[in-house]
Amino acid sequence: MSKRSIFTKCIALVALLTLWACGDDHEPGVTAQTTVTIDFEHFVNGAPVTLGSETPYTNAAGNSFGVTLLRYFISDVVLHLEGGDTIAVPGAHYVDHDDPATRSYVLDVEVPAERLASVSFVMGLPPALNVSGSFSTGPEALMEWPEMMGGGYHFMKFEGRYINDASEPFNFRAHTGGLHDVDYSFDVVLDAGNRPLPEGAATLTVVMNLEQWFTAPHEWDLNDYFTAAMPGIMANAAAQESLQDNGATVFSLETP
Amino acid sequence: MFVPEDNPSTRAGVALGRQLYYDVRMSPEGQRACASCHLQEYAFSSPAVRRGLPHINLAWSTSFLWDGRFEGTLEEAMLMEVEEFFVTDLERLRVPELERMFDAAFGTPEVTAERAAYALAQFQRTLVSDDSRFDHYLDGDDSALSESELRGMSLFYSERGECFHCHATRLLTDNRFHNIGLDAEVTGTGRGAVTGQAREDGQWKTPTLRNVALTAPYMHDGRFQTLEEVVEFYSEGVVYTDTLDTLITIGGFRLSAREQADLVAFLHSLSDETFTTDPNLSDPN
Ligand code: HEC
Ligand code: HEC
Ligand SMILES: [Cu+2]
Repeated sequence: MSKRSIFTKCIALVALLTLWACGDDHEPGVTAQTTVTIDFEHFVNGAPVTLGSETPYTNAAGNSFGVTLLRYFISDVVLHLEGGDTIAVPGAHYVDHDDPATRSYVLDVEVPAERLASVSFVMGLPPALNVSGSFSTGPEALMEWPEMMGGGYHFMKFEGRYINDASEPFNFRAHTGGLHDVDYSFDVVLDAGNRPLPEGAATLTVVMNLEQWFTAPHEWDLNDYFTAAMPGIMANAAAQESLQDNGATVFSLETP
Repeated sequence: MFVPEDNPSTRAGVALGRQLYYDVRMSPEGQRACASCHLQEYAFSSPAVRRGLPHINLAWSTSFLWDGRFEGTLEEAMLMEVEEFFVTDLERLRVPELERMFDAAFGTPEVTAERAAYALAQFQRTLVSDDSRFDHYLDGDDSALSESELRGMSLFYSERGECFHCHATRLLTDNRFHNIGLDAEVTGTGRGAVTGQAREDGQWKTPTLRNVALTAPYMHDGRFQTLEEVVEFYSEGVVYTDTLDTLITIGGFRLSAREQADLVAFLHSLSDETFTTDPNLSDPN
């Protein structure tokens, strides 16, 4: 059979299915559907972050800091509707602040245009997805986490500069991930206030409030974590656990 | 590895690409070939070319040259080399023995710059290095690395050394651009000169470290002759500028003499003799 004739048959089939679908639309009791897109925005102290080597921001401990790079995974998004129904979108999504395309995540499911109670997701990768080799190409592969630290992937690379106790600029690199068998990913649940999802297309905006990583319950003085002697925290279990705790207040949601 | 649909590799295509790579008729004066500056024994680099880059696993690259000023497929990169860098005079290639090879590769004896580039790209895709002692170790041979090399590897994959964040994945490059702190004055240099973005000043492409013991001199301007000098630079010589990468510890990684020696030993374990002696990659004439 030639390619063309397969193609013609497909068109015929699609046309038939569309007719059926149209017929259904007019049946009573069928809810309208919507496509949900999650936009990711990154704020510091209430305003959108600007990447750069300057140190214009201040954290709770009083350190001046700036942000040079932000990349992370979120996974297993679940939309919780008012009536208790849930729509799960398994899998991981990679965000790079510097790559606008990654900051919009179009959920690949039909969602009833009903009232949205909440949105939940995993910050990072749950153990089932955090397996070396699951991303073999693209920027996702570059999130790899050394085998010597247990393998898998970084959950987040949040980097910048701060002014240290010696009044000198010093780099911080808040890289998070699982350490050997200890999983530091965590669940995030964001209240959506039962707002109605508009028919056709709906956009939710998830905001990562960057200063919150360093705020509470554990106030981070960056001098305690990023020094010449130990410039990173990847292999530091206490620091990973501390950021996991602080992550509870990092995200907020804006609904349409 | 990305292979475009219009240029699948064939035995005849690779053979033509290999021939052209080693053929001085590629240059208008008939004096140099790709292999004049890209020599197999040096992992397709040359100690005599200061600003050179080796040809190793380029099948996985999408931007080329130290400042990435050429972006595109391998085919496009090869076409740029043929048309702009070599300015190949196609008349020189219109000789019966080459026309026969073009015929075998592409179905007619017609010689075009695009066909030459496509054949060169097919040959480039055979320049795959994945058989170093480090690879043997990753594939499960615990005795492949010495004690010192193992210590060097641990440092390489730690945040005291930081090497792995940029010299990443099994390619040992992230194919991205970074300012590692070589110079105090970086305005308008490197990636920044290409993109016009000040925050990319002083950034250069991360070279693969595969076969790095064979690819001296080092860095985009060939300023270091030995791996010892490179590692000493990372340890003590890092210069702070605004665009210094946040993965580079300000003031340098401050490694002990023994740690530096271990790192250098590890870098030597990345040499792949199968690659540098493979008869299928050598001069066919
Ligand atoms: C006179 C020496 C010389 C010759 C001959 C030469 N090259 Fe090169 N090649 C270089 C230098 C130097 C660089 C790095 C230049 C830069 O980045 O600005 C390079 C870089 C490259 C790169 C980029 C590699 C990377 O990692 O980005 C490719 C591809 C390449 N050469 C292909 C070729 C091909 C194909 C030929 C033959 C048609 C050829 N070269 C002949 C000197 C040479
Ligand atoms: C921030 C990213 C980054 C980190 C971290 C890093 N490198 Fe590099 N490396 C680069 C870049 C970019 C270059 C090329 C710089 C230039 O030429 O200006 C380079 C060049 C090199 C070279 C020279 C290779 C050649 O062919 O010229 C060697 C060797 C090297 N690095 C080893 C290391 C080692 C060992 C470490 C850890 C101590 C390390 N690098 C850490 C990005 C990095
Ligand atoms: Cu890291």
